[in-house]
Amino acid sequence: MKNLRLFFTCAACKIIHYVLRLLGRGGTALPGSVALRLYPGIIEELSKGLVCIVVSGTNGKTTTSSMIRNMLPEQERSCISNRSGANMTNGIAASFILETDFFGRRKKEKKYAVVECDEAFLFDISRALRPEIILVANIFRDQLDRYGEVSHIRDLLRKGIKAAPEATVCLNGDCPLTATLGEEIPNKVLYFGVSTDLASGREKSSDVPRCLRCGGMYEYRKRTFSHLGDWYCPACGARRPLPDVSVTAAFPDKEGTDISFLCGDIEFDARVSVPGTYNIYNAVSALSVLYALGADPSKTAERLGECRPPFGRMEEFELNGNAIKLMLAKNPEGMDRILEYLSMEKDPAMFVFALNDNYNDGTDISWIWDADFEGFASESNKDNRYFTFGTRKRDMLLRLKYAGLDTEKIKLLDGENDLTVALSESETKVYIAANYTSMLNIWDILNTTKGRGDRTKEKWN
Amino acid sequence: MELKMCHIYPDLLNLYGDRGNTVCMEKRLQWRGIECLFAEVKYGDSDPLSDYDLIFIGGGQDFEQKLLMEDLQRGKGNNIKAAAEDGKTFLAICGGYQLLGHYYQMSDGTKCEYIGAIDVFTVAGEKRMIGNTACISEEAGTIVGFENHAGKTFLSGTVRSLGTVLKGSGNNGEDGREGARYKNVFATYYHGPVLPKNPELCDLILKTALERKYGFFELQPLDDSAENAAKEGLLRSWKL
Repeated sequence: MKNLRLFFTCAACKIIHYVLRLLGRGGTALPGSVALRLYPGIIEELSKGLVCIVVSGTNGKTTTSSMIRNMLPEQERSCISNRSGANMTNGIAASFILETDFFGRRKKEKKYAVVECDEAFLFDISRALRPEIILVANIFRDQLDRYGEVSHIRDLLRKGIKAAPEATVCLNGDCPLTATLGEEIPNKVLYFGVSTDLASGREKSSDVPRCLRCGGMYEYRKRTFSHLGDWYCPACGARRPLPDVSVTAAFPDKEGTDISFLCGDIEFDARVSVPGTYNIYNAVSALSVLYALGADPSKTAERLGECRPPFGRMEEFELNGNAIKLMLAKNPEGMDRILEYLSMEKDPAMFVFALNDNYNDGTDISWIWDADFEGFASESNKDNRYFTFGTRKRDMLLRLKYAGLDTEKIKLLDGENDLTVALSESETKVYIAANYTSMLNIWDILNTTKGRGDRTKEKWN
Repeated sequence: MELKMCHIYPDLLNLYGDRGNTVCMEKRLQWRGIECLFAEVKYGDSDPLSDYDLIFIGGGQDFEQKLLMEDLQRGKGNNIKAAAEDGKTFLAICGGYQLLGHYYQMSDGTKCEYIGAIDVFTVAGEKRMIGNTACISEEAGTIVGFENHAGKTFLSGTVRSLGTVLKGSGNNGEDGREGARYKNVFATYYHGPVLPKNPELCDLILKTALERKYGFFELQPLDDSAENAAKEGLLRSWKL
């Protein structure tokens, strides 16, 4: 009976997935939802015997998961994983089913599953997977219209971790919201952090100005960015835990970062081959997971040099000999890191800011006003050109206007055709910062324009 | 010519996008050659507010609102109330709006006493009111924004509403009214932030503050085509 049900579930999921692909639509949400409806315990069933690693937190889940996969032993890298970033229960269910045959048997023997999980679904996923490791990367403001307050997100994560008390938990010690979870859970905890300046220079209002324990004001011996850093509360003595895995020096350039790590008492250097200061955090968090699994840290860290950005995250395209970089930016923190990266470009360039307000993006786009576009505008080359795109392109244009950019230089792109024309006419480098669904949209446009054929598989697992 | 603006509790009440309102007011003064002196009054600061012409209070999360109750009781609450009564110009959003009222009544009936600067009170609602919003105001035309609140606010006494709801819930989802007006106080549930897409409202607030300081004041018109296009684009997409 159980086998029959498993068969129907896998078959339904696979067939719907296949039909959607034929229709030219990607997506694992619908096939996953149908599977869960038919067989609510499907994730638990299909994850039996696997070593599961769950990655949660606000920013960096997809990139960090890809780094973790890349650092696994070579024969294990094709592990089960929701590579596309479909990180709700339905997407996760589908990524397990698509790795099996119609009878729920894995097509190839696998040892690991690396699953990125939306904060709101961690409880269900923890219970189903009984993970070996849970990583919480950080907690920032994101989609308050969907999840309510930051403290609510923190509660969801705590509940999720408590549902898997045997898991080792890797926590960002530099993020007070995340690090203090360590005192509230029964699990074995490992902290990671960055113990050096990240030379970002820009500071602004923080997500957690007040001590969660006593309400006092946090102070920082060192701040890496936003509310991350070597924090402490003078009033009650709460402070950043000493990291088990840390970055002791970092030298970022436009292509990546050279990093010195300290892991336990072993020191070693490695290069991360994806740029952006936030990828330093992604790298050290991924390394902490491998360390918790018992891997040799210096050897595994070497593979950070072979990391490729996952789709839409600092991904490079080429059009008429011009380099186009596509970057996901979907909350103030993410956008600030992108803007910081963009400020490294001193030559005239074309910038596209794309903003949609679909359900998956969060319908509240107010966050763009919290990102430091002022800093970006003040450092920008006067020959830069700016474009805005997406359902909220006019809001984005206003943001650029009030940040101090010359409105003569900002143009609205009305629809896909406008975008394609602007991209192909550009004689400079192009940088595109886009939030979730606008990034998916632009990714499709770039791949069609380029005639790269069907890359849907890469995008949707 | 100058305007002194202060942001109360930028450290505690700084929910999504609130910064956009201060950025917008500063820029629209600057573009007209009016100097804008900007100050922050944080948790624990006890400066009187009599120095300022324009006072901004944003929205916050529950955790932060609890913290600031004790700070308000140490005198800041009375300062705010006196400034509002004295005709200072205020812009209060969401949590800041609730704070100006008499109290917030929790779902178990307990009351959290607030400042009582304006005759409004708030009652905890069952369902959060979240989404795009629009209202029409006699003074400032159509106003668009985004709301996200569980509290239902009711007006009484001499307090008028800022506008009549066209889309969304407004103050309480019941009486079709949005925001509050009392003397020179402007209060609203709209964040989004509210000012950049509603230049008429922004200018009305600036004019109110400047007139109290300098007497009759005519604001030099600005090119608001981008602002109006953003607003109209939304109204069109909502079929309003």
